[in-house]
Order: sequence, then C-alpha cells, then structure tokens
Amino acid sequence: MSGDTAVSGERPAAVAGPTSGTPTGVPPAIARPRRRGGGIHGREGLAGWLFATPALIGLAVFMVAPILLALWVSFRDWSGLAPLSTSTPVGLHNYHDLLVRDGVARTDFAKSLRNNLYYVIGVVPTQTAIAFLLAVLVNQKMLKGRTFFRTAFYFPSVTSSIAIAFIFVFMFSPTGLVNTVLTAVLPGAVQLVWLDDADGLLHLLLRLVGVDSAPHALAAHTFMGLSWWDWLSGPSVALTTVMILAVWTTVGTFMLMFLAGLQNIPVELEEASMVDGATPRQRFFKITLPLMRPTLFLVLTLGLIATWQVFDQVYAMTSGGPQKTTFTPAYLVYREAFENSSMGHASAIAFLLFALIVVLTGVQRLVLRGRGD
Amino acid sequence: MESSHPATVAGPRSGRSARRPGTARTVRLVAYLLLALAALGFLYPFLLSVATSVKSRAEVSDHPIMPWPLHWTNRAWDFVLLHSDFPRWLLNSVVVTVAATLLRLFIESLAGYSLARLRWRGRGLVFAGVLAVLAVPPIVLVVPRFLLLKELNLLNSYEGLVFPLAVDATGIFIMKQFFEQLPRELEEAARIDGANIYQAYWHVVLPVARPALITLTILSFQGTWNEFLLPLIVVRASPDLWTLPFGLSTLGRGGAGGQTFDYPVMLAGSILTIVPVAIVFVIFQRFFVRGMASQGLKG
Amino acid sequence: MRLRLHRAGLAVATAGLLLVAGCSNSSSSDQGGKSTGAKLSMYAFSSSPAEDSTLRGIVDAYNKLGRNTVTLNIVPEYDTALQTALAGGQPPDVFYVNDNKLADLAKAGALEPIGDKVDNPGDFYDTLKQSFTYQGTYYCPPKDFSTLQLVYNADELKAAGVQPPTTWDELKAAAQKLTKPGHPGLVMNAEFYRWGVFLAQAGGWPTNDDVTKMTMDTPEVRQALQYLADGHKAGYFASPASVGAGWGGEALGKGKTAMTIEGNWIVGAMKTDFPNVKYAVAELPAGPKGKGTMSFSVCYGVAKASKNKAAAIDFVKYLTSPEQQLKFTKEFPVMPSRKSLADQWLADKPQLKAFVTGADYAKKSVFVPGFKTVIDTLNDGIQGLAKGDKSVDDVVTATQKAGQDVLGG
Repeated sequence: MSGDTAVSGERPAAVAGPTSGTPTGVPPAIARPRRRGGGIHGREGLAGWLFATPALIGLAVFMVAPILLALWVSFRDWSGLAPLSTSTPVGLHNYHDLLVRDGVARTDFAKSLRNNLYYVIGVVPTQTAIAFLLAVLVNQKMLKGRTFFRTAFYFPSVTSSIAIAFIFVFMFSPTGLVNTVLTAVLPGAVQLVWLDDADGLLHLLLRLVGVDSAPHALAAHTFMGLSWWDWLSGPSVALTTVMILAVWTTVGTFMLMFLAGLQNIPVELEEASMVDGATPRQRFFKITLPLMRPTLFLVLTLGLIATWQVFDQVYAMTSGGPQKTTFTPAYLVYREAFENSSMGHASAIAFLLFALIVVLTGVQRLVLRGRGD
Repeated sequence: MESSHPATVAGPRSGRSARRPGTARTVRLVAYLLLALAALGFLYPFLLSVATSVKSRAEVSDHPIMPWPLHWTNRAWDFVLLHSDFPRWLLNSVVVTVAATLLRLFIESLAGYSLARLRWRGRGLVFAGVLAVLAVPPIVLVVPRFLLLKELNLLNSYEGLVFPLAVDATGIFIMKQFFEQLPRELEEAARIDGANIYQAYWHVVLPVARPALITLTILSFQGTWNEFLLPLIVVRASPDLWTLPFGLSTLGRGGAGGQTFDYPVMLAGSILTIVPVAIVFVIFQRFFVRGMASQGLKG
Repeated sequence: MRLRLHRAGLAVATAGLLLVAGCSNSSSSDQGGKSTGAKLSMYAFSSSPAEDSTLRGIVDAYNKLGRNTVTLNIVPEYDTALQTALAGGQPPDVFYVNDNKLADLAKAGALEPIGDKVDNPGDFYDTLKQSFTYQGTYYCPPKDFSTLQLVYNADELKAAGVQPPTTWDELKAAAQKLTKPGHPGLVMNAEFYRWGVFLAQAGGWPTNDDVTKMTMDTPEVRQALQYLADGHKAGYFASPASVGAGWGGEALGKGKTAMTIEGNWIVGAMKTDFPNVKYAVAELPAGPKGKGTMSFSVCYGVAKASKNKAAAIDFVKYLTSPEQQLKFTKEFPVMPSRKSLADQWLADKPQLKAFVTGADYAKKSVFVPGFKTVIDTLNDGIQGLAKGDKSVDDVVTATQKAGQDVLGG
C-alpha cells in the first residue's frame, strides 16, 4: 500500500481516508450497502462489461496474447528471416543454450546479467539517495524558488530518452564537456574515451594497487562461461556513463515521490516533537525517516524494476559495446531477435528477464510487508 | 503542492529561526548552494545543447563547454528543418500521439468507471488481471508484438504504432482511482431524474472527471511522444512512418558507416524533440506531477 | 436515447480510427504518379550524400523509362532493418545484400536465385560470383566491390620524409616516425574487417578455405595479432575512438593521424567531409607471407516473397547493365563488378589503382550461416588487444572456441 503516499501527497484530503489499507483487487465500493433493485443491478452488469470491453480487448490482444506467443516462440528455433511456419520445435534447447551449454550465447547472457547487476547496484542507491536529498532540500519551507528547482530537477524525466542519450554522447565525447572539465580540474590526470572504454571500475581500482591481471584463483574458476575475475570486473567505464545518465534522468521522478511522502507527514507530529524540544537531527531520524519508509520502499522497488529493463540508452549510446560491456538482457533480446536471427533465444531471454523481475518484485513485497505495516 | 499545508508549518519554524538566526542563515545558505549546484547540473546540458546547435563543427570541438556560440551558424537547423526527414517524423509523431491519446482517453475512462462504479460478475478478476499486466516489462513483449502485428497485417502502418499504445493498465488504474473518489450522490441524483447508466456517465460523470482526463492526456502524450521501442520494431523498415525518437536516433550520422557524429545536427534534432514536451510540461506541470504520482502505484 | 449516447462514445473511437486510417492512406498515395507497370520497393545503404544522390539519379532514370516504378529507401543500420523487413513478411522487392550476410539469407530461403538472369552473366568476376553462391546456387549479381588499402596524408608523409611502407618493418618504422602526442602514426578501426588484412599478410585466417575448420589457433594468426597488439601498446597504432574519431577516414580528415586502412568508400566521404585534405592510396605493406587485403562486395538481391519478381529482375538487369554500373562507379568510386569495365574505370581515376590491384589477392569475409557470433567474438578480442586489456592467447582461444561451436569441431 505504499503507493498511497504518492497519490495522497497530491490530494491529501480525498485519498488518505478511503484507500489506505484497502487490499488490492477488492475496491472499497463493493462493501457499500446496495440500495438499488435487482433490475438495475442486472443492467449494470451488462453496462459494466460493455464499458470494460474495449480495454479488455486491447489488453488481451496486445499484452496477454503476446506473452503467450513469446512463451511459445521460446521453445522453437526460428531465424526470423522466413515465415514463422518454417520454425521447428526445439523443446528447452533455447534455455539450455542460455543457461547450460558452453558457448557464445551463454557467455553473452552471462555478460548481460553481470553488466545489469552492476548497473542496478550503482544506479538504484545513488538515484534514491540523491532524490531523497533533493526532496528534503526542496521541502524546506524557508527557501524561496522551490517551484523552480523542483521543475528543473524533474524536467529531464519527461523528455525523450534518445534526445537525452545524444546530449550525453556529446558531453562525454573525447573532446567534450566532461573531459574538458576533468582536464581543467586535474590537469593531465585522465583522458577517458568514456563510451569506448571497456575497463571495469573494480579492475581499474585493483590496477591502482598493482593487481594488473587475474590472480590464478579467480581466473581458473568460471561461472556461466565467465571467469570469476570477469564477474568481478565492476561496470565498465562505458557502462558507468550510461549509469550516470540513468541517475540524471530518474532522480526528478523519485524526488517528487519523496516530496509527496514528506508533505504527507502529519504536521501535528512535527509540532509535538518541537514542543518536546527535539533537535532537527532527532526529528529527522526519529520522525521523518521512519514515516518515509513506505515511500523509500516504493522508490526502491520502482528503481529496481526500471533498471533491469534498460534498453533505449544502450541502443543509442553504445549498441552494447565496447567488448559487450554494455550488453543488458533487454538489449540482448533485441539483438538476438533482429541482428542475430534468433527469435527463439530472444524470447527465452525475455522470459528469463521477466521471471527475474517478478521474483525481485516479489521479494521486495515480502520485505515490505514484513517491515512495513 | 506547497499549497497542501498552508501556513501551518511556517509558524513554528520562523519562531525557531528567530531564536537562532545565525545557524538558520548558514543552513539556508548551504541549502541554496546545493540547490543551485543541482539546478546547474540538470539545466546546463540543455543550455549547452542549444548553444552547440548553432555552432560550427570546428567550434564545437574547440570550445565544447561554452554556453553560447562565438560565431552563429544556422547550418544544423537548416539541415534538420529543410534537408532531412525531420518534418516527416514530426508529422508522424503528432498523428500517432493524437490518435493513441484519443483512444486511450475513451477506452480507459470507460474501463476505469466500470471497474470503480458498476457491479458486474468477474469485475474483481478483471481488475486483478489489469494489475498483473502492469507488471509486464515492455521488452518482454518485443518479439511477440512484432509477430502479432505481422499476423494482423499492421506492421509498417500507423495502426501498428497506435493500437498497442491505445490501452495501458496504468491509465485504467488512474481512472478507477479517480472515479472511486467521486461522491456517489452525483450519479444517483441523475439516475433518480431518469437518466440511465450511459446518460449518467456521459452527462454527469465524465464532465466531473476532467482533472483525471487531463492527467491521462498528459501522461499519454508524454509516453507516446517519447516511445522508442515500438517504432523500432513496427516501422523500422518504413522510413516514411518513422516517428521522432527513432528518426532522431539516425540523425546526424556521417562517414562511411555512420560512425561520424555531427553534433550540432544531433543536438538540434534533440532540442526539437524535447521542445513540445517541454511546453506541455511547463503549462500542465501540476498534472505531470499527479500522473507521476499515480504511476507510483504500479509498485 | 441510450443509443444516441452510445453513438457519441463510438464517435470518439471512430474519430480516432478515421484519423489513423486517413493518415495511412495519405502515406501510400504520395508515390502514385504515372506508373504503368509494377510498383517496386528497394532497400539500399549509402556511405555519403554523394552516393545517395548517384543512386537516386539512377533509380529516377529507370522510373522515367515507364516500365515500373521503384521507390528507393536508403536505410541506416541496414542489416537490422533488412532483417526486420524480412521477418515482417513484407520485404522490399530488391535489396542490397552484403556478402557476409549472404549465407544467412540464402539458408533462410529469403532470396530468389537470379544471379544468371542478368545480361551477359559471364562478364562478372568469378570470385565475386563465388561470394554470392551458397551450396551451389548463385543467388544474386554483384553490384560492385571494394578493397582495403593504405590511405595516407600525402603532405604529412612528405614533410616527415617517409615513403609509403611496403613491409611490416617499414610500416612500424613509418608509423613510429609519424607519431606525435595525440596523433598516432596509423589509425584503424579495431575490428576484423580491418585487422583481417594483417592475418592475410601473415598467411593466417580465421578458418580454412572451405570454412569447415577453425584456424585461429595457428602461429600465423598469433604473429599478426601480436604485431598489431604491440603497435597499439606502444601507441604508434591506434583505434579511431582513442583519438576521438568515429572511423579511420575521420581521423585522417581531422589530422589526428597520418595513415589509415580503409576502402574505396573513403573517397566519397573525404570529398564530402574533408575536401581540403590531400591524401593518397597505396597498397598495404606485405607481411611475412606476402601481400594481403580484404575485399567487400554487395549484390542486388530479389526477395523470394516478392510479388513482382519479373519486374524486379528487369530492374536488376538495368542496375547491372554496363552503362549504369559505369555511371554509379564513376561518381562513387567502388569498382565495377564486370570485368569488361575495369580498364575504363581505372583510366578515369589512376590515383585509385591500389584498390584495383588489391582485388587480385584479396580475402573475402564470407563464411557460413551463423558465423556472425564468431566474428563478434573476434571483434571483442580485437578491441581488447587495441586497448591492451586482453592477451593474444585469450583472443585466439575464445574465437577458436566460438568458431568450433558453429562449425562443429
């Protein structure tokens, strides 16, 4: 029920009452006493179906049917170059290629999982922390111009991902803004070719302390075709650039959610604590933070789901390179389907990704339920 | 948003700052500094893009961070507006966005009302289904949607771009949420006056639902305008039907294999793609915020 | 009353639909015109505005004949777009096919075999025809071809007193001499379609000639990769990205290097983007096993799913006629695929002789269906070697393994 905080921030009077605590799927309206007769009720039934039919058709055709179709294709071998009728059933072969059989398909999938894992680990906490900080700042009633700042921070979130990607490609080009500023601040320290640098951040850190190649223990063991050393590479410099973009474009949205949560904290509580002589720091940790927990979980969940689907930015900025360090499962789906002529692999990856997201969301829900209400 | 808690908070706080003016001033200064820095970080890229679009290519590589051009040149804008397919993409984007948004408004307000207010068998199940569909990531649907549109003969057509975007679970959710908050007395009064369900819906309920409809319009406008994945698979092979984001992704590439970037052209195109959303954003900001908050319900 | 209200609702929906339908009609009618025969669609790619306009000119000329009407689409990121069109079941009638894609398309049954249906098919180079033959069927007539050679900044080499190198040792010495801070002596894309020339010069290649066995793990391949890796490590060779360029031609044009390895297409691109840079073309230096380069070709494919095959073949005949080939290759200097045109072409542009000479010993990047993943793996490795974060051993092993996956053993 974390969502309520977000909405009620907007229209506190109307929402806070009726929806909070309502289990999803059972609208409160049902519980109301029925005053009308059976005849009208019957007509209502018909009207209800009629009203919902266009939406149901749309959802069935463009959401449900595709899911089933994807499942079916994931058990077939189809190149996508000839009609679907020419494809052959291959059982679990596609999944086997991705998860078990030693080959390029599995290594690519492993790389995409590794990259996306680092992406999530890097982006989700950062965007959450910055969004929270900005929300707290923008919520300070003593400051002027808060509307302007709020607008400025939120604006990138509503614009085209491709346009933003281009702006970042430009800023991070070898002779672009970022390198120029870095050179001015730290003359001669680093000249990075951001979007073409496959070095992992962890590998780079290790290089600083003199570890230049894989220790035997890490190079000798592999998981899904990648050595442990490769798993432990950290995000590549190129992927880090995409991560910076992701944080930049999402912070505004999450800031608004936090803001809604902050404004939802009952004023009486703050006043009471102030009368009790609590310091601002105490108030923040004892009152604000605990009350913000539902919003925090909402933001984390949404962030987690979104970061596992990153596609547009990868397509426009790096096309999966350099050295496959910006492959993500979502990008791999597209690539397998429309570049590598393997619709079966593509569908199987899509389903594995789907399963992953469902599981992660489920875990989040459990944690939320355990700690929240 | 600030209007939600008028004045109540300001009182005690200002009392506090009167007690310890020095600290309050420092805190305020630090806060402003942080805010200003952040604002710079969020706005400067846009400013720089505008400036870059009127620089020459040579100037762009010599002075990549100057927020104004030393020598103004219209070359990039000339190219984008007069010598590229950009106007065509713009037209396509407008058509697709308008059509999808109209359909969405119609379909989702009906469905939302039905789920919120009408009692019919299977309603709970249908709503649970809508919630489940909310959780499906679009990328999962890429290949099958392509297949399906192929079977329906809708690849490389406006319809193929519009129909998949004409229903989305979030919109139904927003409308349902809104209708549940409306006082029931509204329709009941109309029904007592002899109006049937449809009349009551059309004449009484819909007019009151304007704020929610505007929110939905804004949300749909922004989503459809920026949609990249669907055009990528549906009209990839028909340059005549490309919409802005996909067209933009091909803009300003030169050299033997498209590996040379013409930054002024790329950024001029980016700015033009952003501007319509920016205008709507500034005018309807409040509805953007509400829409975003409703999307939060997905979780 | 209820009916009327219902209709109002419907009206909103139909308004939307009509809008959609109306617009899609307008899109298909803007190509109406005065055509008498079939309507054909064609997909092509292009490397420069010069090539664009040449191609459009030829298509317009064909349309003026009044036999059929061709709509030309010049598509970016061509291979993906073509694949999408084929998968969608509505492929263009006529389309370019890259030689490295032929096996995949032929195997999938996407192509109509029309290779021999053009005029005087014996006039085409046999080696090119071989590129477009899969399991004994010759699918499509070659459009033209290009080879890779050494392209250099004539002024810079002169100023440094450097002659175009003819051996690996000379290349290394020349590149070292031409290297300045931020300006490596030789810049080339870090990918198989450039580095492959060194494999050929060393007598190595990813597979044997029949493409039945991987031959990455050989001293020849290792020697070539080591030579290149050493050069990149020392900084006298470099990738375009490392100097802020997208490809070798841009690096050369921007004065970020003195030499690059590119093919015929560089001529058109330099004319458009860097008209003032004085460059020249020389044969690539010979390696331990003699000269070596790579050639690339494109053919005019006709879709098996095309409903206008006769018309499509008529159009391809026109495109491959000596007259049109000469027109195309004159403006945009790839080399004609007809033997009979070679002398005429060269007489026009003697400065490009090296590209022609290369054709005698060039290797082609034509393998088997599904080999793309192997080339991708190799490209990964090559990027790693250029960057200095992979060893020759890693690259050889990974590619050999990826290849055995595809070739079986």
